[in-house]
Amino acid sequence: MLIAALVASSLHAASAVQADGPPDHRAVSLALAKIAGEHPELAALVPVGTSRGGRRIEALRLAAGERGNGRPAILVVANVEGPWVWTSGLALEAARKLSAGYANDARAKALLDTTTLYIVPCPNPDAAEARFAKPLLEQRAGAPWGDDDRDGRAGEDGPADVDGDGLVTWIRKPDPEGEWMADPADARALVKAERAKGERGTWKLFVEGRDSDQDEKVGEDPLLDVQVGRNFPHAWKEHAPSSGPFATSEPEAQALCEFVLTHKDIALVVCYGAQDNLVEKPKTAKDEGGRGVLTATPESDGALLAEIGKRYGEVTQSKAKGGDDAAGSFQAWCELQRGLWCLDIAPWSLPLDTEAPKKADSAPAPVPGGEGEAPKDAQEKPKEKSKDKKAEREPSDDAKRLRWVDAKGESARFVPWKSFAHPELGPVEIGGFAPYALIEPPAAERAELEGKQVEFLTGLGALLPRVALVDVTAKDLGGVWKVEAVLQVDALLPLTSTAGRRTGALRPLRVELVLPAQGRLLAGDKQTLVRELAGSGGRRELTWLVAGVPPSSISIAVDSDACGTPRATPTVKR
Amino acid sequence: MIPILFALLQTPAAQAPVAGAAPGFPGSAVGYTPKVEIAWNRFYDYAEIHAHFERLATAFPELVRGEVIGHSVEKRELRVYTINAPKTGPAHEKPAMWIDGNVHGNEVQGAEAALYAAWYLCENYGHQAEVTKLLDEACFYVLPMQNPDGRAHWFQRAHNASSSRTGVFPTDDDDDGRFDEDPADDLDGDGQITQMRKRVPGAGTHRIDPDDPRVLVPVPPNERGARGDWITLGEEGTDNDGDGRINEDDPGGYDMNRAWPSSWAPEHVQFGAGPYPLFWPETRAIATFIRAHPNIGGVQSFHNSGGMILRGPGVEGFGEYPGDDVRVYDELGKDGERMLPYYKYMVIWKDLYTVYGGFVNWTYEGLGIVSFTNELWNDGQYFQSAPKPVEPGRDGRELEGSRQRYWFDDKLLMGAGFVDWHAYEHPFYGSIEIGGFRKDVGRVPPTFLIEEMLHRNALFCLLHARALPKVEIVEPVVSELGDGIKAVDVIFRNLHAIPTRTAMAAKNKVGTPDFLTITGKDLEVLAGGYRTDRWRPERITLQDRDPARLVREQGLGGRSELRVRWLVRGSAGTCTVGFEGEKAKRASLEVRLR
Repeated sequence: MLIAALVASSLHAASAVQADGPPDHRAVSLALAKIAGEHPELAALVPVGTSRGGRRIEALRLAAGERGNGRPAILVVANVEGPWVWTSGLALEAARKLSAGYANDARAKALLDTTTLYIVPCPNPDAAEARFAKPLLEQRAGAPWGDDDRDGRAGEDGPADVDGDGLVTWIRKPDPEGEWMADPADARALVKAERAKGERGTWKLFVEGRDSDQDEKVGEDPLLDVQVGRNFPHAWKEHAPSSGPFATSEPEAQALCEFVLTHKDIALVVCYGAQDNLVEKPKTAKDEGGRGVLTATPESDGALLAEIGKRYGEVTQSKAKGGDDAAGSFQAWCELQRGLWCLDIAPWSLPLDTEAPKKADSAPAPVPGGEGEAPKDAQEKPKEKSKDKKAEREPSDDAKRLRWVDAKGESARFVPWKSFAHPELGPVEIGGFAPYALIEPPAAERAELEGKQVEFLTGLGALLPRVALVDVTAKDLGGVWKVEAVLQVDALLPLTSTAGRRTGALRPLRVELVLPAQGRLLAGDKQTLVRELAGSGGRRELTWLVAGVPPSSISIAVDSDACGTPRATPTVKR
Repeated sequence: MIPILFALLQTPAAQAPVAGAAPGFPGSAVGYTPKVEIAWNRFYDYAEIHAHFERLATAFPELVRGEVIGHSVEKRELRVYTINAPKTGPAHEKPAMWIDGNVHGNEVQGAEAALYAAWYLCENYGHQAEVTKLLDEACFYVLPMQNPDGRAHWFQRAHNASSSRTGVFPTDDDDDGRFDEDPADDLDGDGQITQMRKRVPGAGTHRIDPDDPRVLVPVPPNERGARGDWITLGEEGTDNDGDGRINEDDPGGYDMNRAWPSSWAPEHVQFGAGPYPLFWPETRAIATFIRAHPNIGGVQSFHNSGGMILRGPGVEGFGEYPGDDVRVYDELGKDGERMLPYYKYMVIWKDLYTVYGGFVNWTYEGLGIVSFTNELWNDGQYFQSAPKPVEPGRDGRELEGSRQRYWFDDKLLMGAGFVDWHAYEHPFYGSIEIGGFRKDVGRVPPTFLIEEMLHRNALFCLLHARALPKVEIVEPVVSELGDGIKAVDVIFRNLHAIPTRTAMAAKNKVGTPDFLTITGKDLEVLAGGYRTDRWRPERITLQDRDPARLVREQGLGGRSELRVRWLVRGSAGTCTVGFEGEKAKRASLEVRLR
């Protein structure tokens, strides 16, 4: 009965891709090829690389008209982490809507006429494939590392579907050495017991699996360890199995880095997945941090991200926060080592703000002596022994999530704990949140979520700095021309982020005074490199003294990778 | 007199061994002729280095095997030569010493030092007892050039002592969107990039040294009224890209010794690091090879110059290395100081400068291998005495820095190392002078000191290799404990200075731990562990599970022993006690159970 309910749910039909479910690698490839085939004037496939498992990683390039130098690009990457497979569908939806909308949607047209998009829906296909395998398992890792439990055998004790329900969930084992106890707010949820508060653990908690090496640990030496999403150079954690042997050791990570390095038109990176810097303000550090490594978003960049975050909230009404830190992530490398603007978007998370049901009728703790067994020697805090003890503890996030599960009737997301005779551990209970339960929105909400995300994405082109040459003039000083030009940025974002200036990884804007052969430069620099220019009307003035040629033969030429290449001839100023 | 002359005349050809000569070429001069003659008073270009290795491979086919492990940016080969005596086992079953040179293209003598080490091993194997023993117990992986492009450019093109350090991946040093478009230029066409200076009477910053017209000395700012007649204009070159600057975008422009994954930092903190670790194909190929050879237990990287035996950390924030490992480093480093006069054993960040992402930092911090960088050659060796000899003339001033080089160049090279200042008409600066030391002065020794440098440094590698762990299992004792239970006691001993697992490797769980095993037909192993009390055999740190295969994360310390006891039952005849570890040869011992 329970199993049947699970299989019926779109979340847990593990064996095949469903029409309304997230796309697997094959579906992504087909969808990209279809878009490229239907819109040859707008769309083209660009190879990114090949995964360790031999799967092709592709970008769809969307751009209308001339793709000359200086035209900015937005890189859209979904699910570098692995389990956020549904965001691949979101990225595909963006590609479909924008390519189809170019003909009749003014905003889509405006974006693609001025901005190039590179959309990489499936950069980590090997890990994503777990979403379509049986049993179902949330998989971030794609490559073996070695012997996690240091017993001389590598990968011998990983997660597994022990009870045969098609899902790899959780095992809790009653154990006096356990550090977990039932959450007083909801006994289905486990919380860590705090000995200092007189709480006593009653459960050991493991990922579902066998104990093949009989070390009384489960899932402690999985076959796959190395996560692409932890394999990038910024704050890479050496010697952690999930980090890989060195930053960019994984072909997917190196391929993404190379894609960014070889597409210098990229001005903005949008990542869908586990991280967020729009709903919650990112941690920031002082703009001027000496010569050290940038450790966090510089304050001034953070202020602009907050503004973008405000606009994001207005368009999407999203309150979904990310759950990942930045260590070793693609996003952190883009932002803090390449100096690119990077929007981290966690498009959905399981809400924590569902109201508790009025009547407190949470199930009793399944193990006698579990919760509520207050120590006898806690006399110094007599009040805390009272019946209010349950209310003292803030309900755990899992307990809050269960409120939502209950209220929404999303029962397939939580597998009730059920007794099981484990071949190595003995009597245990198996259950807990199902794989992907905290990651994927309900199928019914997906279309609306995707629509809002695409709407937000469509407006991002207007935020990108495009340098204009304004007030380009020449004044006759008597046989000598004083030539002046003003560079201006009207968009919200400045020419370069503070992180970009600190890292120096981006090529500055180059302004050149172009003179015919008989022209003579009497003062000023033939070439000026501009590294800083504020957004929202920021200006920079340049001046030259020129002789020997009329102003009409002089040009001011701007050269840049991603903020335009305007060229102008001065008008004579009286 | 006459008979000696007669004997010489009878020698058939100069390169054939002298009749009756002893085989081998250990470093003493009388009675030995090497099988492969290599002139050790020269430096060799990329192809010549490989040609010499191929000569060794031909002369010692059983000992030398070359393989191409990757290619440089300009598709030159990265060749690793394995020096191994196969009759004592394949290379991968022995502890290995890695030797490389020339990661900086201009630091050329590292390749010759690597070649010398290979040559010395081959020539003396089977003839000198200690060399034979060493090569029977350990093997060597030798990569003479980490940066063959940089070397080839330094040899074949105009350069100075410090240029062509980088590889040649196109790099936009001046951020103008163009790559390598404004290199230094050999204006006078003499194959050297020397210096430019211009005479500006009464308007300069420098004047001619009264002792030596080749030398410009700055006019001190507090010399009232004094004015110089000269200005310096830097390295030979012009403004190739018309941006108003000279020589600001050379080929390449990065540092392949800042590209390694441990303590790596991005370009805004560490110049030359590249956009991600192991970005350049040379570095990635080398890292792949080293990671695929976990038997490597010693690393020696050759650079120039300064006379240093360097170890990490490269960055202060890393913290000092674990004490057990530092003791090994200190022992080797201090012996090295004696073997290499004028060299100092130093810690990179503390005694030299901060290095993020250095090669030997990765091989130790990342892989747990005892690793040194030697900076070959220093000025003290010009005079084989204290580094600041007093000048013999005039005001008795000391000869400092480059002034020593002038003196030395005049007296011992007859001035061959210096390009005399000569007039040149520069397109931008007008009438100037060009001159200065050739590229092979300053960071490499003159011909007659090369061999000494190579021999001492190669033998330092051999010292390091002789310290690679060597495990034996000794003193088996079988005791009857009643009820058919027996205790098997053995001692696992590491005879050499380097532990089978460095403290760094153990701490970070690098690679595979060591295994101490007991096996036997129908042998039931009840328990096993490490004895903690010599006199009380029941005091044992037991391993929880799988007692027949003790997992030893911390390995066997340098020159130390470990007492192990197993409680067994069942086997009537013998059992086998064994040692397995990544960085030591396997060992085993048959033990009679009764």
